Amino acid sequence: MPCVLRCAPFACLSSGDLRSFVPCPAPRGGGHGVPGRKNDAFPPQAVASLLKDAGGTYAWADTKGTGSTALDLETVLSKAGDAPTWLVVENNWKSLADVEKADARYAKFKAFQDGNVWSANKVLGPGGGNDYYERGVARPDLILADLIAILRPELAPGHELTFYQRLTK
Amino acid sequence: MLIALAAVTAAGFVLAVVVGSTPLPLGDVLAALTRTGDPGTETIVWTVRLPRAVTALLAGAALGAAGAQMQTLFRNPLAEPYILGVSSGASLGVALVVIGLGGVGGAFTAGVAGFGRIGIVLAASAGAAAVLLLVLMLSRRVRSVATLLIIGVLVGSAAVSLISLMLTYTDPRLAQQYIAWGLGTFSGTTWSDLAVLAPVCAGALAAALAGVKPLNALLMGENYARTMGVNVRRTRTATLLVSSVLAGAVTAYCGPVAFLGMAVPHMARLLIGTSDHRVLMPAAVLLGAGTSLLCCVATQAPGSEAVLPLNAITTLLGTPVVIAVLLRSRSARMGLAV
Repeated sequence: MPCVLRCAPFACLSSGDLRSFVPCPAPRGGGHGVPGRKNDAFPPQAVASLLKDAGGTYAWADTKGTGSTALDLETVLSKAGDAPTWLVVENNWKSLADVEKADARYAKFKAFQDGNVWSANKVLGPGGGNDYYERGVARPDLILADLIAILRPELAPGHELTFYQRLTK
Repeated sequence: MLIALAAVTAAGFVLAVVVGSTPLPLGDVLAALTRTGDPGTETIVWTVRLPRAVTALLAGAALGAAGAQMQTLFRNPLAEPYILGVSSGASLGVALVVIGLGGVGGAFTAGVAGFGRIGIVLAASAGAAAVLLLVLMLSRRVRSVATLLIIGVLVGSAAVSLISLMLTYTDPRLAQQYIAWGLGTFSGTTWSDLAVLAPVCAGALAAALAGVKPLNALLMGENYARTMGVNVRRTRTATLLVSSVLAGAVTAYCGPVAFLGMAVPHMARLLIGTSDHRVLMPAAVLLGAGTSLLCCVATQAPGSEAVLPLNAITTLLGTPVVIAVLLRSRSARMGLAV
Protein backbone atom coordinates (compact mmCIF):
# COMPACT_ATOMS: atom_id res chain seq x y z
CA MET A 1 0.00 0.00 0.00
CA PRO A 2 1.36 3.41 -0.88
CA CYS A 3 1.16 4.71 2.66
CA VAL A 4 3.41 2.02 4.10
CA LEU A 5 5.99 2.33 1.32
CA ARG A 6 6.17 6.09 1.65
CA CYS A 7 6.16 6.25 5.41
CA ALA A 8 9.04 3.83 5.81
CA PRO A 9 11.90 6.12 4.73
CA PHE A 10 10.72 8.79 7.12
CA ALA A 11 9.91 6.59 10.09
CA CYS A 12 13.55 6.43 11.14
CA LEU A 13 13.56 10.15 11.85
CA SER A 14 11.29 9.93 14.80
CA SER A 15 13.86 8.23 16.92
CA GLY A 16 14.46 10.48 19.82
CA ASP A 17 16.10 13.53 18.27
CA LEU A 18 13.43 16.02 19.16
CA ARG A 19 15.28 19.19 18.39
CA SER A 20 12.89 21.62 16.82
CA PHE A 21 10.30 23.24 18.95
CA VAL A 22 6.77 23.97 19.40
CA PRO A 23 4.51 25.09 16.65
CA CYS A 24 1.91 27.55 17.83
CA PRO A 25 -1.78 26.98 17.57
CA ALA A 26 -4.26 28.67 15.30
CA PRO A 27 -6.54 31.43 16.55
CA ARG A 28 -10.25 30.91 16.88
CA GLY A 29 -12.49 33.82 17.77
CA GLY A 30 -11.74 35.18 21.21
CA GLY A 31 -9.75 32.20 22.35
CA HIS A 32 -6.85 30.55 20.62
CA GLY A 33 -7.66 27.06 19.53
CA VAL A 34 -5.10 24.41 20.20
CA PRO A 35 -5.55 20.98 18.71
CA GLY A 36 -5.53 18.47 21.51
CA ARG A 37 -5.24 14.92 20.63
CA LYS A 38 -7.83 15.31 17.95
CA ASN A 39 -8.51 17.87 15.27
CA ASP A 40 -11.71 18.43 13.31
CA ALA A 41 -11.01 15.95 10.57
CA PHE A 42 -8.24 13.85 11.95
CA PRO A 43 -8.50 10.80 14.14
CA PRO A 44 -7.29 11.12 17.74
CA GLN A 45 -3.61 11.69 18.47
CA ALA A 46 -2.86 12.44 14.87
CA VAL A 47 -1.70 16.01 15.09
CA ALA A 48 0.72 15.69 17.98
CA SER A 49 1.94 12.36 16.63
CA LEU A 50 2.62 13.80 13.21
CA LEU A 51 4.62 16.60 14.74
CA LYS A 52 6.55 14.22 16.93
CA ASP A 53 7.30 11.97 13.98
CA ALA A 54 8.57 14.94 12.04
CA GLY A 55 10.97 15.79 14.81
CA GLY A 56 9.13 18.65 16.41
CA THR A 57 7.71 19.14 19.83
CA TYR A 58 4.43 20.70 20.77
CA ALA A 59 3.73 22.53 24.00
CA TRP A 60 0.32 20.98 24.40
CA ALA A 61 1.33 17.50 23.33
CA ASP A 62 0.04 15.97 26.53
CA THR A 63 -3.40 17.59 26.47
CA LYS A 64 -6.10 15.06 26.92
CA GLY A 65 -9.46 15.26 25.33
CA THR A 66 -10.76 15.61 21.83
CA GLY A 67 -11.14 18.68 19.73
CA SER A 68 -9.55 22.08 20.13
CA THR A 69 -9.14 23.96 23.39
CA ALA A 70 -9.63 27.69 23.63
CA LEU A 71 -6.70 29.29 25.38
CA ASP A 72 -6.00 32.80 26.46
CA LEU A 73 -3.36 34.70 24.50
CA GLU A 74 -1.19 35.07 27.58
CA THR A 75 -1.00 31.31 28.03
CA VAL A 76 -0.05 30.84 24.40
CA LEU A 77 2.54 33.63 24.63
CA SER A 78 4.12 32.24 27.75
CA LYS A 79 4.26 28.63 26.58
CA ALA A 80 4.87 29.05 22.88
CA GLY A 81 5.95 32.64 22.33
CA ASP A 82 9.53 31.60 21.68
CA ALA A 83 8.76 28.73 19.40
CA PRO A 84 10.76 28.98 16.17
CA THR A 85 8.02 27.70 13.91
CA TRP A 86 4.36 28.49 13.68
CA LEU A 87 2.15 26.04 11.80
CA VAL A 88 -1.42 26.95 11.16
CA VAL A 89 -4.33 25.89 8.95
CA GLU A 90 -6.05 29.12 8.07
CA ASN A 91 -7.51 29.52 4.59
CA ASN A 92 -7.25 33.27 4.50
CA TRP A 93 -3.77 33.91 5.77
CA LYS A 94 -1.72 34.45 2.63
CA SER A 95 0.90 36.78 4.07
CA LEU A 96 2.29 38.00 7.36
CA ALA A 97 0.19 41.14 6.98
CA ASP A 98 -2.94 38.96 7.15
CA VAL A 99 -1.71 37.48 10.40
CA GLU A 100 -1.14 40.89 11.88
CA LYS A 101 -4.55 42.04 10.66
CA ALA A 102 -6.20 39.34 12.73
CA ASP A 103 -4.53 40.49 15.93
CA ALA A 104 -1.68 42.97 16.14
CA ARG A 105 -0.20 41.02 19.05
CA TYR A 106 0.66 38.05 16.87
CA ALA A 107 3.67 40.12 15.82
CA LYS A 108 5.12 39.41 19.27
CA PHE A 109 5.68 35.77 18.47
CA LYS A 110 9.26 34.91 17.64
CA ALA A 111 8.13 32.76 14.73
CA PHE A 112 6.38 35.78 13.24
CA GLN A 113 9.40 38.01 13.67
CA ASP A 114 11.65 35.43 12.03
CA GLY A 115 9.21 34.98 9.16
CA ASN A 116 8.74 31.32 10.00
CA VAL A 117 4.96 31.10 9.77
CA TRP A 118 3.53 28.34 7.60
CA SER A 119 -0.09 27.98 6.64
CA ALA A 120 -1.61 24.84 5.15
CA ASN A 121 -3.63 26.67 2.55
CA LYS A 122 -1.57 26.08 -0.56
CA VAL A 123 -4.30 24.03 -2.23
CA LEU A 124 -7.76 25.52 -1.96
CA GLY A 125 -10.76 24.30 -3.92
CA PRO A 126 -13.04 26.59 -5.93
CA GLY A 127 -15.63 26.67 -3.13
CA GLY A 128 -13.04 27.58 -0.55
CA GLY A 129 -12.47 24.05 0.73
CA ASN A 130 -9.01 23.21 1.96
CA ASP A 131 -7.35 20.16 0.46
CA TYR A 132 -5.45 19.65 3.70
CA TYR A 133 -8.65 18.29 5.21
CA GLU A 134 -9.51 16.22 2.15
CA ARG A 135 -6.43 14.69 0.63
CA GLY A 136 -4.48 15.21 3.82
CA VAL A 137 -6.75 12.97 5.85
CA ALA A 138 -6.28 10.13 3.40
CA ARG A 139 -2.55 10.75 2.89
CA PRO A 140 -0.96 11.67 6.21
CA ASP A 141 2.37 10.72 4.68
CA LEU A 142 2.13 13.86 2.53
CA ILE A 143 1.54 15.99 5.62
CA LEU A 144 4.39 14.27 7.40
CA ALA A 145 6.68 14.93 4.45
CA ASP A 146 5.70 18.61 4.51
CA LEU A 147 6.31 18.84 8.24
CA ILE A 148 9.73 17.27 7.93
CA ALA A 149 10.63 19.68 5.13
CA ILE A 150 9.55 22.58 7.32
CA LEU A 151 10.98 21.51 10.65
CA ARG A 152 14.10 19.69 9.45
CA PRO A 153 14.85 21.12 5.98
CA GLU A 154 18.27 19.54 5.82
CA LEU A 155 16.66 16.11 5.67
CA ALA A 156 14.45 16.81 2.70
CA PRO A 157 16.27 19.12 0.32
CA GLY A 158 14.30 20.02 -2.78
CA HIS A 159 11.04 18.71 -1.41
CA GLU A 160 8.04 20.44 -2.92
CA LEU A 161 5.48 21.29 -0.28
CA THR A 162 2.06 19.85 -0.88
CA PHE A 163 -0.14 21.66 1.59
CA TYR A 164 1.93 24.22 3.47
CA GLN A 165 3.29 27.49 2.24
CA ARG A 166 5.48 29.99 4.01
CA LEU A 167 3.84 33.30 4.76
CA THR A 168 5.90 36.27 3.72
CA LYS A 169 5.38 39.99 4.01
CA MET B 1 -20.05 55.18 49.75
CA LEU B 2 -18.75 56.41 46.41
CA ILE B 3 -15.25 56.39 47.85
CA ALA B 4 -15.71 52.80 48.97
CA LEU B 5 -16.86 51.88 45.47
CA ALA B 6 -13.85 53.62 43.95
CA ALA B 7 -11.57 51.66 46.28
CA VAL B 8 -13.21 48.38 45.30
CA THR B 9 -12.80 49.24 41.63
CA ALA B 10 -9.14 50.09 42.10
CA ALA B 11 -8.59 46.81 43.94
CA GLY B 12 -10.37 44.99 41.14
CA PHE B 13 -8.08 46.60 38.58
CA VAL B 14 -5.00 45.53 40.47
CA LEU B 15 -6.36 42.01 40.75
CA ALA B 16 -7.09 41.88 37.03
CA VAL B 17 -3.49 42.74 36.24
CA VAL B 18 -1.93 40.42 38.79
CA VAL B 19 -4.11 37.36 38.20
CA GLY B 20 -4.41 35.63 34.87
CA SER B 21 -4.59 32.20 33.34
CA THR B 22 -0.80 32.00 33.39
CA PRO B 23 0.42 32.02 36.97
CA LEU B 24 2.93 34.82 37.33
CA PRO B 25 4.52 35.63 40.67
CA LEU B 26 3.63 39.07 42.05
CA GLY B 27 7.24 40.18 42.00
CA ASP B 28 7.53 39.36 38.30
CA VAL B 29 4.39 41.34 37.54
CA LEU B 30 5.69 44.36 39.42
CA ALA B 31 9.03 44.11 37.65
CA ALA B 32 7.23 43.90 34.32
CA LEU B 33 5.20 47.01 35.14
CA THR B 34 8.36 48.98 35.77
CA ARG B 35 9.91 47.41 32.68
CA THR B 36 12.78 45.95 34.64
CA GLY B 37 11.87 42.28 34.44
CA ASP B 38 11.91 39.37 32.08
CA PRO B 39 10.88 40.47 28.56
CA GLY B 40 8.49 37.56 28.16
CA THR B 41 6.58 38.51 31.29
CA GLU B 42 6.71 42.14 30.23
CA THR B 43 5.06 41.24 26.93
CA ILE B 44 2.31 39.36 28.71
CA VAL B 45 1.62 42.09 31.25
CA TRP B 46 1.78 45.02 28.84
CA THR B 47 0.17 43.58 25.72
CA VAL B 48 -2.37 41.22 27.25
CA ARG B 49 -3.19 41.94 30.86
CA LEU B 50 -3.14 45.71 31.05
CA PRO B 51 -5.26 46.26 27.91
CA ARG B 52 -7.65 43.61 29.19
CA ALA B 53 -8.00 45.27 32.58
CA VAL B 54 -8.50 48.73 31.04
CA THR B 55 -11.09 47.34 28.62
CA ALA B 56 -12.98 45.66 31.44
CA LEU B 57 -12.93 48.91 33.42
CA LEU B 58 -14.23 50.99 30.51
CA ALA B 59 -16.80 48.44 29.42
CA GLY B 60 -18.22 48.01 32.92
CA ALA B 61 -18.39 51.75 33.49
CA ALA B 62 -20.02 52.34 30.10
CA LEU B 63 -22.61 49.60 30.50
CA GLY B 64 -23.43 50.65 34.06
CA ALA B 65 -24.09 54.22 33.00
CA ALA B 66 -26.01 53.23 29.88
CA GLY B 67 -28.13 50.80 31.88
CA ALA B 68 -29.04 53.44 34.44
CA GLN B 69 -30.05 55.81 31.63
CA MET B 70 -32.21 53.23 29.89
CA GLN B 71 -33.95 52.19 33.07
CA THR B 72 -34.85 55.77 33.87
CA LEU B 73 -35.82 56.75 30.34
CA PHE B 74 -38.21 53.86 29.94
CA ARG B 75 -39.16 53.69 33.61
CA ASN B 76 -38.70 49.95 33.34
CA PRO B 77 -36.57 47.85 35.71
CA LEU B 78 -35.86 45.32 32.97
CA ALA B 79 -34.44 47.89 30.60
CA GLU B 80 -30.79 47.64 29.67
CA PRO B 81 -28.43 49.25 27.15
CA TYR B 82 -29.17 46.64 24.47
CA ILE B 83 -32.91 46.84 24.73
CA LEU B 84 -33.31 48.98 21.65
CA GLY B 85 -31.42 46.51 19.55
CA VAL B 86 -27.96 48.11 19.61
CA SER B 87 -26.22 44.82 20.20
CA SER B 88 -28.50 43.05 17.72
CA GLY B 89 -27.51 45.61 15.10
CA ALA B 90 -23.85 45.16 15.90
CA SER B 91 -24.27 41.37 15.77
CA LEU B 92 -25.97 41.67 12.39
CA GLY B 93 -23.07 43.73 11.09
CA VAL B 94 -20.56 41.18 12.30
CA ALA B 95 -22.64 38.27 10.99
CA LEU B 96 -22.78 39.86 7.54
CA VAL B 97 -19.05 40.23 7.53
CA VAL B 98 -18.14 36.87 9.05
CA ILE B 99 -20.77 34.63 7.54
CA GLY B 100 -21.39 36.60 4.39
CA LEU B 101 -24.47 36.18 2.34
CA GLY B 102 -24.21 32.42 2.57
CA GLY B 103 -23.73 29.84 -0.12
CA VAL B 104 -22.10 32.19 -2.58
CA GLY B 105 -18.73 30.57 -2.07
CA GLY B 106 -15.24 31.96 -2.63
CA ALA B 107 -15.10 35.59 -1.57
CA PHE B 108 -17.90 35.30 0.91
CA THR B 109 -16.45 32.46 2.91
CA ALA B 110 -13.68 34.67 4.19
CA GLY B 111 -14.75 34.63 7.79
CA VAL B 112 -13.04 36.54 10.54
CA ALA B 113 -9.57 35.93 9.17
CA GLY B 114 -10.42 37.48 5.85
CA PHE B 115 -11.44 40.83 7.24
CA GLY B 116 -9.23 41.06 10.25
CA ARG B 117 -10.01 42.67 13.57
CA ILE B 118 -10.54 46.14 12.15
CA GLY B 119 -13.19 44.76 9.82
CA ILE B 120 -15.09 43.23 12.71
CA VAL B 121 -14.96 46.40 14.78
CA LEU B 122 -16.12 48.55 11.86
CA ALA B 123 -18.91 46.14 10.98
CA ALA B 124 -20.17 46.06 14.56
CA SER B 125 -20.02 49.85 14.82
CA ALA B 126 -21.83 50.25 11.52
CA GLY B 127 -24.55 47.83 12.57
CA ALA B 128 -25.03 49.54 15.91
CA ALA B 129 -25.07 52.98 14.27
CA ALA B 130 -27.66 51.83 11.73
CA VAL B 131 -30.00 50.61 14.46
CA LEU B 132 -29.42 53.77 16.47
CA LEU B 133 -30.34 55.94 13.47
CA LEU B 134 -33.47 53.92 12.89
CA VAL B 135 -34.49 54.23 16.50
CA LEU B 136 -33.76 57.98 16.62
CA MET B 137 -35.83 58.54 13.48
CA LEU B 138 -38.70 56.57 14.95
CA SER B 139 -38.35 58.38 18.26
CA ARG B 140 -39.26 61.66 16.59
CA ARG B 141 -42.55 60.28 15.33
CA VAL B 142 -43.54 58.37 18.40
CA ARG B 143 -44.96 60.15 21.39
CA SER B 144 -44.67 57.68 24.18
CA VAL B 145 -41.50 55.96 25.33
CA ALA B 146 -43.37 52.72 25.85
CA THR B 147 -44.13 52.57 22.13
CA LEU B 148 -40.52 53.33 21.35
CA LEU B 149 -39.45 50.52 23.63
CA ILE B 150 -41.70 48.05 21.86
CA ILE B 151 -40.46 49.17 18.45
CA GLY B 152 -36.87 48.92 19.60
CA VAL B 153 -37.35 45.41 20.93
CA LEU B 154 -39.02 44.36 17.67
CA VAL B 155 -36.21 45.82 15.56
CA GLY B 156 -33.74 43.90 17.71
CA SER B 157 -35.70 40.68 17.23
CA ALA B 158 -35.81 41.18 13.49
CA ALA B 159 -32.04 41.57 13.39
CA VAL B 160 -31.60 38.41 15.46
CA SER B 161 -33.84 36.38 13.17
CA LEU B 162 -31.91 37.54 10.12
CA ILE B 163 -28.80 36.30 11.86
CA SER B 164 -30.43 32.95 12.59
CA LEU B 165 -31.28 32.64 8.93
CA MET B 166 -27.69 33.26 7.98
CA LEU B 167 -26.41 30.82 10.56
CA THR B 168 -28.60 28.04 9.20
CA TYR B 169 -27.16 28.16 5.72
CA THR B 170 -23.54 28.71 6.43
CA ASP B 171 -20.38 26.66 6.91
CA PRO B 172 -20.21 25.38 10.50
CA ARG B 173 -16.71 26.79 10.96
CA LEU B 174 -17.91 30.30 10.14
CA ALA B 175 -20.94 29.88 12.36
CA GLN B 176 -18.60 28.86 15.15
CA GLN B 177 -16.48 31.96 14.61
CA TYR B 178 -19.57 34.13 14.80
CA ILE B 179 -20.77 32.41 17.96
CA ALA B 180 -17.32 32.80 19.51
CA TRP B 181 -17.60 36.55 18.86
CA GLY B 182 -21.05 36.56 20.44
CA LEU B 183 -19.73 35.16 23.69
CA GLY B 184 -17.97 38.42 24.40
CA THR B 185 -14.41 38.98 25.55
CA PHE B 186 -12.28 41.66 27.12
CA SER B 187 -9.11 40.07 25.79
CA GLY B 188 -9.35 41.09 22.17
CA THR B 189 -8.34 44.72 22.48
CA THR B 190 -4.89 46.10 21.84
CA TRP B 191 -3.55 49.51 22.81
CA SER B 192 -4.41 50.91 19.39
CA ASP B 193 -8.01 49.78 19.89
CA LEU B 194 -8.02 51.44 23.28
CA ALA B 195 -6.78 54.66 21.70
CA VAL B 196 -10.23 54.85 20.11
CA LEU B 197 -12.35 53.13 22.74
CA ALA B 198 -11.07 55.10 25.73
CA PRO B 199 -11.81 58.62 24.43
CA VAL B 200 -15.20 57.55 23.06
CA CYS B 201 -16.20 55.97 26.36
CA ALA B 202 -14.78 58.82 28.42
CA GLY B 203 -16.60 61.43 26.32
CA ALA B 204 -19.90 59.59 26.45
CA LEU B 205 -19.55 58.94 30.18
CA ALA B 206 -18.91 62.64 30.76
CA ALA B 207 -22.06 63.39 28.77
CA ALA B 208 -24.00 60.86 30.82
CA LEU B 209 -22.79 62.36 34.09
CA ALA B 210 -23.60 65.85 32.87
CA GLY B 211 -27.15 64.90 31.90
CA VAL B 212 -28.34 63.72 35.30
CA LYS B 213 -30.69 66.57 36.20
CA PRO B 214 -33.28 66.01 33.45
CA LEU B 215 -33.20 62.30 34.26
CA ASN B 216 -34.17 63.04 37.85
CA ALA B 217 -37.20 64.96 36.58
CA LEU B 218 -38.11 62.17 34.17
CA LEU B 219 -38.34 59.75 37.07
CA MET B 220 -41.65 61.28 38.03
CA GLY B 221 -43.10 61.00 34.58
CA GLU B 222 -42.90 62.99 31.39
CA ASN B 223 -45.71 65.41 32.17
CA TYR B 224 -44.16 66.29 35.51
CA ALA B 225 -40.82 66.78 33.79
CA ARG B 226 -42.42 69.14 31.29
CA THR B 227 -43.86 71.25 34.08
CA MET B 228 -40.37 71.44 35.54
CA GLY B 229 -39.13 72.95 32.30
CA VAL B 230 -37.37 69.92 30.92
CA ASN B 231 -37.42 69.56 27.14
CA VAL B 232 -38.55 65.95 27.11
CA ARG B 233 -37.93 65.32 23.44
CA ARG B 234 -34.42 66.70 23.55
CA THR B 235 -33.61 64.77 26.70
CA ARG B 236 -34.92 61.59 25.16
CA THR B 237 -32.82 62.01 22.03
CA ALA B 238 -29.70 62.94 23.98
CA THR B 239 -30.08 60.03 26.39
CA LEU B 240 -30.68 57.55 23.58
CA LEU B 241 -27.66 58.87 21.72
CA VAL B 242 -25.30 58.73 24.69
CA SER B 243 -26.37 55.30 25.88
CA SER B 244 -26.26 53.85 22.37
CA VAL B 245 -22.77 55.23 21.81
CA LEU B 246 -21.66 53.66 25.09
CA ALA B 247 -23.29 50.32 24.36
CA GLY B 248 -22.25 50.33 20.70
CA ALA B 249 -18.60 51.13 21.43
CA VAL B 250 -18.37 48.36 24.00
CA THR B 251 -20.06 45.86 21.69
CA ALA B 252 -17.82 46.79 18.77
CA TYR B 253 -14.65 45.99 20.69
CA CYS B 254 -15.80 43.35 23.16
CA GLY B 255 -18.78 41.70 21.55
CA PRO B 256 -22.14 41.80 23.30
CA VAL B 257 -21.58 41.78 27.06
CA ALA B 258 -24.62 40.40 28.78
CA PHE B 259 -26.20 41.23 32.07
CA LEU B 260 -23.97 44.01 33.38
CA GLY B 261 -26.11 46.78 31.93
CA MET B 262 -29.22 45.49 33.62
CA ALA B 263 -27.88 44.37 36.98
CA VAL B 264 -25.46 47.16 37.85
CA PRO B 265 -28.00 50.01 38.15
CA HIS B 266 -30.15 47.86 40.44
CA MET B 267 -27.20 46.98 42.62
CA ALA B 268 -26.18 50.64 42.70
CA ARG B 269 -29.67 51.74 43.66
CA LEU B 270 -29.79 49.25 46.49
CA LEU B 271 -26.32 50.14 47.71
CA ILE B 272 -26.81 53.88 47.85
CA GLY B 273 -30.47 53.78 48.74
CA THR B 274 -31.64 56.54 46.46
CA SER B 275 -32.60 57.04 42.84
CA ASP B 276 -31.13 60.52 42.67
CA HIS B 277 -29.08 60.39 39.49
CA ARG B 278 -26.52 62.83 40.82
CA VAL B 279 -25.36 60.01 43.09
CA LEU B 280 -26.74 57.06 41.16
CA MET B 281 -24.90 57.71 37.92
CA PRO B 282 -21.39 57.87 39.41
CA ALA B 283 -22.25 54.88 41.59
CA ALA B 284 -23.39 52.89 38.55
CA VAL B 285 -20.21 53.82 36.72
CA LEU B 286 -17.94 52.75 39.58
CA LEU B 287 -19.89 49.64 40.46
CA GLY B 288 -20.05 48.65 36.81
CA ALA B 289 -16.30 49.00 36.47
CA GLY B 290 -15.67 47.00 39.64
CA THR B 291 -18.07 44.20 38.75
CA SER B 292 -16.69 43.98 35.26
CA LEU B 293 -13.13 43.68 36.56
CA LEU B 294 -14.14 40.88 38.90
CA CYS B 295 -15.85 39.05 36.05
CA CYS B 296 -12.71 39.57 33.97
CA VAL B 297 -10.64 37.86 36.67
CA ALA B 298 -13.15 35.03 36.85
CA THR B 299 -13.01 34.38 33.09
CA GLN B 300 -9.29 33.85 33.32
CA ALA B 301 -10.00 30.78 35.45
CA PRO B 302 -6.81 31.20 37.39
CA GLY B 303 -5.23 27.82 37.84
CA SER B 304 -6.30 26.38 34.54
CA GLU B 305 -5.13 27.33 31.10
CA ALA B 306 -8.55 27.67 29.56
CA VAL B 307 -10.48 30.88 29.20
CA LEU B 308 -14.17 30.91 30.05
CA PRO B 309 -16.66 32.81 27.88
CA LEU B 310 -17.40 36.23 29.30
CA ASN B 311 -21.15 36.27 28.91
CA ALA B 312 -21.52 33.00 30.73
CA ILE B 313 -19.51 34.35 33.64
CA THR B 314 -21.27 37.71 33.90
CA THR B 315 -24.65 36.05 33.89
CA LEU B 316 -23.81 33.09 36.13
CA LEU B 317 -21.99 35.18 38.70
CA GLY B 318 -24.38 38.08 38.54
CA THR B 319 -27.74 36.35 38.72
CA PRO B 320 -27.45 34.82 42.19
CA VAL B 321 -25.85 38.00 43.54
CA VAL B 322 -28.67 40.21 42.31
CA ILE B 323 -31.34 37.79 43.52
CA ALA B 324 -29.68 37.59 46.94
CA VAL B 325 -29.40 41.36 47.14
CA LEU B 326 -33.04 41.76 46.14
CA LEU B 327 -34.27 39.20 48.65
CA ARG B 328 -32.26 40.76 51.46
CA SER B 329 -33.23 44.33 50.86
CA ARG B 330 -36.37 45.54 52.53
CA SER B 331 -37.08 48.25 50.03
CA ALA B 332 -36.76 45.79 47.22
CA ARG B 333 -39.22 43.43 48.77
CA MET B 334 -41.76 46.17 48.69
CA GLY B 335 -41.24 46.58 44.96
CA LEU B 336 -38.39 48.05 43.00
CA ALA B 337 -38.54 51.80 42.85
CA VAL B 338 -37.05 52.93 39.61
